[in-house]
Amino acid sequence: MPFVKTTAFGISLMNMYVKDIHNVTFCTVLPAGNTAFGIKLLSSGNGVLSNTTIGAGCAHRLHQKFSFGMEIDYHVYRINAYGSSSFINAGFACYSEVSGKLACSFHIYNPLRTGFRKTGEKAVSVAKLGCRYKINSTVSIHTELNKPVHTSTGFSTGVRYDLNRQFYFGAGFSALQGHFTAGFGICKSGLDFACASVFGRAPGSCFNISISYELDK
Amino acid sequence: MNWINRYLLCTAMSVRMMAFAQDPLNEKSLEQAIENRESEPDYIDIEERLEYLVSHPVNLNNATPLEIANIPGLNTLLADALIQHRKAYGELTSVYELQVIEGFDPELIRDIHKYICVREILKFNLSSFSEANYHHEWIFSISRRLEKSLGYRLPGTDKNAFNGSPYKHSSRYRGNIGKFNLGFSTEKDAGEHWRDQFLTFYVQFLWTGRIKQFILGDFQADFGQGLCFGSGMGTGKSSAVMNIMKRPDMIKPGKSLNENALMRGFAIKGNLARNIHMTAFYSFNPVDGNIEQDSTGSGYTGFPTGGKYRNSGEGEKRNAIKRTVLGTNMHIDFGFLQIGCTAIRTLYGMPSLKQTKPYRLFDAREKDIRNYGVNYKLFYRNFLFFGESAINTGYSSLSHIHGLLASLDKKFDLSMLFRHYSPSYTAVSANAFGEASRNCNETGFYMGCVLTLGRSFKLSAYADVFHFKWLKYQVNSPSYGQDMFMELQYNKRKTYSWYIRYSHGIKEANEKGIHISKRLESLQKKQLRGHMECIVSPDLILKNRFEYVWHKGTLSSTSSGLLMYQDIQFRFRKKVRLILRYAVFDVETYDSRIYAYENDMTYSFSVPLFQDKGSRTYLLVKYKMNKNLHICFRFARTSYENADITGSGVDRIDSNRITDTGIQFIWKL
Repeated sequence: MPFVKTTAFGISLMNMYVKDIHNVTFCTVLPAGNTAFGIKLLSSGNGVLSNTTIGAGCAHRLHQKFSFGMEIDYHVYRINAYGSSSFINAGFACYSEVSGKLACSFHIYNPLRTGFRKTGEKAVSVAKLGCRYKINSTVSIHTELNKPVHTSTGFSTGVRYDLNRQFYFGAGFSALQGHFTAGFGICKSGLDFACASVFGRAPGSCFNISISYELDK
Repeated sequence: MNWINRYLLCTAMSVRMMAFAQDPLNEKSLEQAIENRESEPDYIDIEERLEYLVSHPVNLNNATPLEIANIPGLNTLLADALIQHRKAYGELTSVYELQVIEGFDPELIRDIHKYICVREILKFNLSSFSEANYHHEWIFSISRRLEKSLGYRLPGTDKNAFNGSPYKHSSRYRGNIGKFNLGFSTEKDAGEHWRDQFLTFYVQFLWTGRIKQFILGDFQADFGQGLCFGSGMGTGKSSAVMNIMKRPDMIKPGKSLNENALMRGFAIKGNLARNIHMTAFYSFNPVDGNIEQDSTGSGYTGFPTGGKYRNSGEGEKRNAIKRTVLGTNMHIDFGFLQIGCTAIRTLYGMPSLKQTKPYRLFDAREKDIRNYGVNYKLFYRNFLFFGESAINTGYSSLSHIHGLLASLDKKFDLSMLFRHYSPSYTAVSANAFGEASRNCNETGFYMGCVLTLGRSFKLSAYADVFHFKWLKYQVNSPSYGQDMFMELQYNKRKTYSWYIRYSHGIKEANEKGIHISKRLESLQKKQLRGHMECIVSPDLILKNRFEYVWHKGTLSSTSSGLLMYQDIQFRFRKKVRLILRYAVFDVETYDSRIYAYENDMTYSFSVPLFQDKGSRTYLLVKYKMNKNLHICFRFARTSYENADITGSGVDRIDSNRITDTGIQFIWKL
């Protein structure tokens, strides 16, 4: 976030295998000097089970190559037969531009292992370590190690290729879920439109569309 | 450099035994290719493919971008750079002019020079028998296993008793007189009677006119991506992660000693117009088959691929089914785009028996099977798209394979491939990319990349996810799998190299044991290998390897395997070459088996499987007596620690040792 220089909006739509299940995310970033503030709204599920999340975060650029951020999310889960339950959790992240080619980041989500108020059931805690390596001005490789508390470590990797300033392609593989993602994006005057398709173990395919827009560009 | 091509280059070096030092990449690729296959590949086919490339060098001055990108050692980025250079400065005057093009270094040019030229090869003249177009080679090999297996000890009246001696011998002749090539091969397997030995022959004519090639006798053919028709080893998952695209369409003489891999008849290839190429063939040869009878009559239930006829039981299957195959392929070449179509018709002498097993529900039962396919290759900038779609007569059998090779940077190559083979798709000789040995009932996505890190390091990786939408043998429901592979390689000026490899595969199969209802269990296999090679001097090479395999099922027990070996390769006065290996292994089950490449006699490959606990030693001596005569001797022994019996069935040996010996003579003129 601290590297975003103008106000930006983004929206992501995902088809989750079955048409009734939706996943919509909206977020906005408001930069102020070396600090940036963000708000996100997430809604997923269907008529039987749904999740709504409202989150706020801020990030600060501590150094030209290093930044730190935190977020607080409020989750509401609703199951028709059992009613709803909510909890609040937090996340922390740091990001470093090690060199012009290499960038690394670390993100830990729900480190305090907070849980649902009603049941006391704990929400998942996840630690992520990621890096991006730019091979040249058009090709970059992205990798991420993902460690949820109760499951084995996941590994994801992907490549992005900028055909020119307007068009780019991306493809990736996630080892834990065992699926591939391939897609493309179009950038034009601050507007970034991207869509991707997933090929993997789960029945059917998942389709994801995201749109973001940066003001004053 | 593109790894497909590097793989082929390295294989070429090994097969021809021109270099003393064998590139480990060749061995690696072969080993992994075998691990990933359900049946043993045809090694001679690899050699044939390389021979074809050498005998058909690409003229860089009139080659299309697709043809250039197909040259072993080149990738799409280099092909594009060459095309741009040709547009800017005109025709190349020498292959060494390549040095001025970005990306072509002297090492690369030295590697590819066998496959390229800058002018048309001079037309053959019958009156000039130059050394270049006059070549004869005869190879004779004899080998045997010192310990006699049960089949030799059974009384002659027993139907399982072997009919012949324990000696295996093969001979092979190849003669080239310019555009006229002639060859024949014979092979008698151990235990076979000499009357049952396999014979193959061919006569080939090559021209530069409208008709380019004519083969009479045994031949093989490859069209498109092999979905409609393909032969030989094909493409697949290996450490050559970019090796996912088939080479150009071709017909080639049948030199393989695989009894069921050859077509017998004639094949012809020519040009209908400047950029329209056509191939046609007719083959009539019986193939091995399992014949059974039911209420509807007799029919075949399968095609055994063992190729051994040692006793009456095995002999019954030999040439049991008449098979006629007619085929044609035509493709139009626009330079950057190639579009082709293939039609194949296969007629069997009898129908297939109706299968009661659910996993064989979609097996074709017709005596007459027809396949139609369309294939393409498209070269755009640094991208090479390729694919094929095919269908056979019958219900919904439309199948596809589509792929992409991209050199996104000088340091980064990317490959992607999607395939969907319908459960009801049937092609007699399909040989396209796939997890299973048959191209049917599979949907998958593959992605691989090669990243060069500095001058010495190279990282290659691939991932493959696949579904089987219908049942398979010993898999009683639709199943899923995935493979991941990663390898870091280090090379220091060809004097010292190592690589570390990690692979992880998941497959689903029926739970083992006796259960009322078979459940699927997820089987995981992890493999870690470290390999080091040191060229101490031009005459002395040392190699070490460590490999650990771990296998686990969700419902079954865990097993592991370990292999370590030390190789010493020594050359004496450039005439004698000595290769010695000592290996120890401790492999608990077949599931955790380990493969390791071994040097063998010329035109032979050996990648034995290690299981149980013991040690293995082999010695190979190659002696160049003179320019025309080479002699090769091999001795290999495997000793098992905890077993008094090895093998099973008629191959059972009542000893804890297996000793193989062989000698080979090569005469060249």
